[in-house]
Amino acid sequence: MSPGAAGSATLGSRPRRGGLWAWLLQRVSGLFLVYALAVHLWAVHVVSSGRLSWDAITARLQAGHAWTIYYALFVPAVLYHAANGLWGVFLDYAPSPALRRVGLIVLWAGSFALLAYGYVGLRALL
Amino acid sequence: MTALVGYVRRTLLPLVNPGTVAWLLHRVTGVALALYLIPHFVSIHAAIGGRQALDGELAGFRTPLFAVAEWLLIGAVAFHAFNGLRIIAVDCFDLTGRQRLLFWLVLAACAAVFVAASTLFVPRILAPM
Repeated sequence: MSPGAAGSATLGSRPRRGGLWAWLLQRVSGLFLVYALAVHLWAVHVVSSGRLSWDAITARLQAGHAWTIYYALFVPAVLYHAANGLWGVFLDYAPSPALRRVGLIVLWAGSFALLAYGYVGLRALL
Repeated sequence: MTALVGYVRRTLLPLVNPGTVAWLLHRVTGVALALYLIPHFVSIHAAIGGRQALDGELAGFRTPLFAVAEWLLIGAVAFHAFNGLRIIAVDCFDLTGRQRLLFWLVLAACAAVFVAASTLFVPRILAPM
């Protein structure tokens, strides 16, 4: 069911280092995302239903520190949870060490590229 | 044909149990949601073009097809969230013996969210703006 769960010891290709922290962080970020996504989907689909616009988004982003803190936690949490989740799926196919390095670079670079690309656009709204 | 029936009976059907179905759905929704982040962040980037560019981008999302996609997205998020809570609960509170019951609770919670979301999305599907 999860990376590092019972049974993974038989998969010799799975790295042992750092697995516990990744497991724990996936749970912690997951729990936070249950709350954060409920807020996000409510704000976008219920509060701004049918009239999501520049004005609605800037009003929310400029509404105060609570929203700033919320997004500063939400965006890294979602990118980490997604990248680590894909990493777990990738490891299930027992990639070679070389392929594992490529996968790791693609996931880290992809996450940071997405973060930067979104932020560059978002800055206009802040 | 008999070979196919035998394969379905002996190989596929035994796989259909709550644990495997939950694992498969968690994986499929997880990968789909992770990939969805790419167009999502790219569309946020449209804000760089200013108010008109962003509002134009957002107006493009108000079609019946996007309403269907967003409704399914809510369903995927709901399943992944509730099933994730089930995994954490089984891990932390030694609930392995109850995971079947927990799986049906996950499906019930998902169905509730999906039906509740229909009040938002069905009108958009039937009467596009």
